[in-house]
Amino acid sequence: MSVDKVNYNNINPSNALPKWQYVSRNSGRAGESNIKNNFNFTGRATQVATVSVPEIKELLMKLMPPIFRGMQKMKNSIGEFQNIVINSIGTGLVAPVLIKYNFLSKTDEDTRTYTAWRQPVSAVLAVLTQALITLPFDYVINKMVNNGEFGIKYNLTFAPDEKLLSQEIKKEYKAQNKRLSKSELAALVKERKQKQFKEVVNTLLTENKINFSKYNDPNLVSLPPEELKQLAIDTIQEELKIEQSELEKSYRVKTPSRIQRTDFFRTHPEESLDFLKEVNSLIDSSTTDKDLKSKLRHKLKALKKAEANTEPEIIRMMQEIYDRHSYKDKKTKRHIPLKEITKQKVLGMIADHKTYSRFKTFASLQRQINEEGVKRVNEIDGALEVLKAAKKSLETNPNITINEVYETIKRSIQEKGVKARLEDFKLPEAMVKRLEKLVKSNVSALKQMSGLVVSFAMLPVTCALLNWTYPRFMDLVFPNLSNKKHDTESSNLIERATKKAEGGNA
Amino acid sequence: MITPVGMNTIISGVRKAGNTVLTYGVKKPLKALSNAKFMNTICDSYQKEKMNVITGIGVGSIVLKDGYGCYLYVKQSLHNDKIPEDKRKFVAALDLTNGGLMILTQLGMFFTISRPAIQKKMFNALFGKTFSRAAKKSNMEILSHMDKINGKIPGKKYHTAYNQIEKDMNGVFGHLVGLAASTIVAKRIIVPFIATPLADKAKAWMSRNDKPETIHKDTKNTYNTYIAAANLSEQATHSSTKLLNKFGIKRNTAA
Repeated sequence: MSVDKVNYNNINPSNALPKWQYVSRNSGRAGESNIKNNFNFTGRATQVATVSVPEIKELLMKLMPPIFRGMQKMKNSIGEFQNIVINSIGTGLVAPVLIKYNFLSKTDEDTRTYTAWRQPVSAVLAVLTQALITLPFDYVINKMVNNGEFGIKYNLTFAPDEKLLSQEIKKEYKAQNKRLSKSELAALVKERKQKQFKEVVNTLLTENKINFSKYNDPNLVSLPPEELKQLAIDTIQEELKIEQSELEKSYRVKTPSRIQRTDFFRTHPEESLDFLKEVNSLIDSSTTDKDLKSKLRHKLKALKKAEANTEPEIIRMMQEIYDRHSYKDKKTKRHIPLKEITKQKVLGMIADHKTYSRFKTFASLQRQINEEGVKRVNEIDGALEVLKAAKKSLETNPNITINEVYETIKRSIQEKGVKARLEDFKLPEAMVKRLEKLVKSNVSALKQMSGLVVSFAMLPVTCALLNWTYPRFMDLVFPNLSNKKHDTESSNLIERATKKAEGGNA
Repeated sequence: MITPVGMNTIISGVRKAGNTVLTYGVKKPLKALSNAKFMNTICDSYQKEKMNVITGIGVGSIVLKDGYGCYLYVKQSLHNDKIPEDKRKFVAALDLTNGGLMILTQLGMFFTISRPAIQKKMFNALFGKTFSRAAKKSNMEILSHMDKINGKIPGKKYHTAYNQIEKDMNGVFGHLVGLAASTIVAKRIIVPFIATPLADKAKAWMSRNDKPETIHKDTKNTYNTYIAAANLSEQATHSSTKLLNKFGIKRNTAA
């Protein structure tokens, strides 16, 4: 099933797209459902959690493959140091093996071994001379950025670095002969950062400015008005993008798949219910996560094996159930069993079956689903209108302040009833956070380029060191390869040869 | 004897010198770099998280250093008395072929592997399941059961967080794959295989004008790589017997 083109401006339930209709494998469409199932679905609590995006992100990372946590750390440390280390791993560990065991080379093995050992020596020297030298430069850049020694493009005095804040706090407490535990220090850093953030937001609202401190200068410098306005426009644009993608997803993915599924329930009421009952009893009969996963796997395999006689939608439903997984937190020992997760899914499907299998015609079902979707689409549309109006006012009105735009957004949210969608969008806060992200990106770019220059300048040192170290290292560790015997080895040979010449027994 | 006052003067002098070095040797060059025009383009790429540009800068930096390093290594290897003379030209030749091939293969690999279509395919093959609709729904269910949330997660926030993770992972995956492909696969797996045999040819080319070395009779290399010097006496007896036989002289074995 595919949707070729969707007209996002035409949302008329009666014009719903017929392509989303479920087409049975046996091409015959079942009639009206008379099934009256006895399942009582009591869904999970509908209380909406108050949680922020970064908090969700943090929790989600725990559910992701462990390699993602490592990749996240690597993302935060992208730069010249990381590049040199990756390069050195290849030099030190991979290259020697390929030089020594290169069957294409006609050079004798001793010379190849001798040459191969040059690579790890060179890798160690590269890390020592080129990578490590970038660290003090990064430290100096951090200090300068937080002290306001660069221009505003690289000035983080409005959102100081957490490491430097913790150093400052430690110093203050040390001067008072007080000690702080790790958690106390983290709490203080968070508190100070939030306090400063609130001050910056407040200045933005009252004075229409974002101020930066300058090194050894009591006067503050502000973000130029044009840049401030552009920052506001870009911040709104980012939110607009999120809403637009939600709208697109609603048309492209949500509504079509929902119509397809519910139409299957309508056209195959007995078959689908029997299947759901069977899976439900499978879940009930299982004892452990492993046992349940194995049962679900077998069921999915059996369905796929009998693909010719199975409705594709049944296989899709089974796949969805099988793809659910349990959660175990090693630290807190919190365990959310697979039984609970899959049960929730199956009960949700049964509840949908109960509602939609009773529809007599496809048109009535489609109307219902579209009506459900229209409410959501209207909300997104409303949010888009609010954001577009705010963006336009910034672009057309040269004297408008951020506070005025923010107030207009708040008013429009109430008027259009789109609180659910834009409740968390607070323009001044979002602007400050965006600016912090941009400055941090600039600082990363500066660190990368300075690292490049510094490590390049260190290259002759690395070469000279390699030239000096490598033959000495080989003489010391592999004298046979470098044609220089160890003193003890040589003296033993001389002694043996002399004894032979004198006629003694060696 | 240095008095405490003298010590303080020395310390303050060292501190002053350190500050001068820091100001003129580090801070001023860094400020000049931050104000350079090309930094605007680089900062823009970092702001927009254009990972292919960021990886390109990393690979470019390595390629640049490889080029310069190649020149330095070849020059130094040829004049390094510590490397045995018979191996010196081979080491230098290997450096030269390595350098040239490394630059070419790294750039070639980077421009191939960093194509968005290829990266997307690789990412989806490895982690596609994690970002499927079923996985998103499953994880949403799990999160709603967690103590910290315990309720229905607003869909917009959930999807924003999920999309951010996907974008981040996609970016860093592309970066690492681009770097690893260039600096490990191209430079350290492909190049050594081609470079070592090519080095033989480069060595021959570098030695094309060399005169054959005249070896003095006293310094002629008689070192046997197969038999230790201590065990050579018996072998020597055999060879002298052969020589005597050659000239028809019978050795008197009767003692």
